[in-house]
Amino acid sequence: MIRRIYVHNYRCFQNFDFNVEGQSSVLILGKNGTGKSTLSSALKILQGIAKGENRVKQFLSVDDFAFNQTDVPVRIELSVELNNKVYDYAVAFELPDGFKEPRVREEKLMCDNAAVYSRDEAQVELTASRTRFLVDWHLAALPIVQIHGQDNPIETFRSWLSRLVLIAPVPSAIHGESEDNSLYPEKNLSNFANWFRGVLGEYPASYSVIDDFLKQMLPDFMDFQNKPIGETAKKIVVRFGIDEKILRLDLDQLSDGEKIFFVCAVLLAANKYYGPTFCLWDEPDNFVSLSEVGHMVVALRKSFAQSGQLFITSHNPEAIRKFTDESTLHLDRRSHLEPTRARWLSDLTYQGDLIESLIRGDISNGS
Amino acid sequence: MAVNVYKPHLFVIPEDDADRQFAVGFEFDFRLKLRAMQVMPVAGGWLKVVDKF
Repeated sequence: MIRRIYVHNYRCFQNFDFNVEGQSSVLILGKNGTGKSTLSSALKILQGIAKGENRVKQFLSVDDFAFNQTDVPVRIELSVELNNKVYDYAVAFELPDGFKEPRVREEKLMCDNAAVYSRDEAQVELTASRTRFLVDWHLAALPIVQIHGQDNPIETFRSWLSRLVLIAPVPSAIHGESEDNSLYPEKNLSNFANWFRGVLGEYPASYSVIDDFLKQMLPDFMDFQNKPIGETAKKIVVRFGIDEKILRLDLDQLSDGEKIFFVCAVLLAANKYYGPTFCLWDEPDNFVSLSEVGHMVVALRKSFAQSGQLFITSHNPEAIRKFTDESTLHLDRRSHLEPTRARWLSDLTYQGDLIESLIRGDISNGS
Repeated sequence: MAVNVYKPHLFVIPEDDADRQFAVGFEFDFRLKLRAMQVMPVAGGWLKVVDKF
């Protein structure tokens, strides 16, 4: 899983560097505008590259250069442990004077400290075969480069990266009708039904995880169906019951919080059956009642302690209380003119109760 | 639903934030069933724990 993230000159991040080795779940805290969602955006760039969005202007614009410093490259580095091997990927983008769109300046993938390929401007070199070729400066090489062999580090890393789950669900965008299967949820979960169908279609045993979680969160939940409503389309129908009485509701008729329970259930199933998954969930507690938030966060943390890695951001006291200081990363910046600084809460001092300190705005990452 | 009040359950009222973090460690144990335990907000002192209890 992720051991280290480094982001430089991207939006509010300059020399933003933190080590998360050995942490199965992390809470990211910070006031508004300190960069919690920006971290998701930085990872989204790498995910986009892995999924084949390789033209730099598709995921990086002039406005993304921190504090309009277009003479300094945007650099993103990720160190990840997968199947007992450590993958280090680094990419840097630049915007030379007179150019309208950013381009790749450097790119490198290493596996267990040995270079797999490296790239300097347009020149790409496959290290093992010493093969060299040119790639358009405006294209990232990761989706293009191929090497042969069963134990293919590029494919392993690319496949993991493309399956990052980076979500900030918007319940009004979540609908029960699906046209296709997908294992790639959109950020706002507008393709939730496709994801639901993809997970259940490829891993039918995941039904038990979804069913078990929903029964714990919704006491009168009975079961659900994904009913065919056309040649390829399906619709999620949920059944609730007490004694002999049964009520059928479309997913669209559920409340915002209940839709979030469904998202959480599918995430738990996905992590168990096609993980290990890395998930960054921006404010999972949104729309969920105070009596349920804590249990949902505990369920997520327990699942990801078995496999995978979970980052969540939150402003909710109940969610925040479910993490210890050692697993809480605090983001802070003095003003919009200064970059974000990240420190573990265990390295900071605060007086008394954490929530009260947050309400008072007493926690600072210092100078 | 908070904890399931029809099944054995445990409410924890932490005296301070350090106790709250201990309790979170127990709650996080994979052998513990979801909803069997609920950690309440920090009371802010032993006498306040007794009062809440």
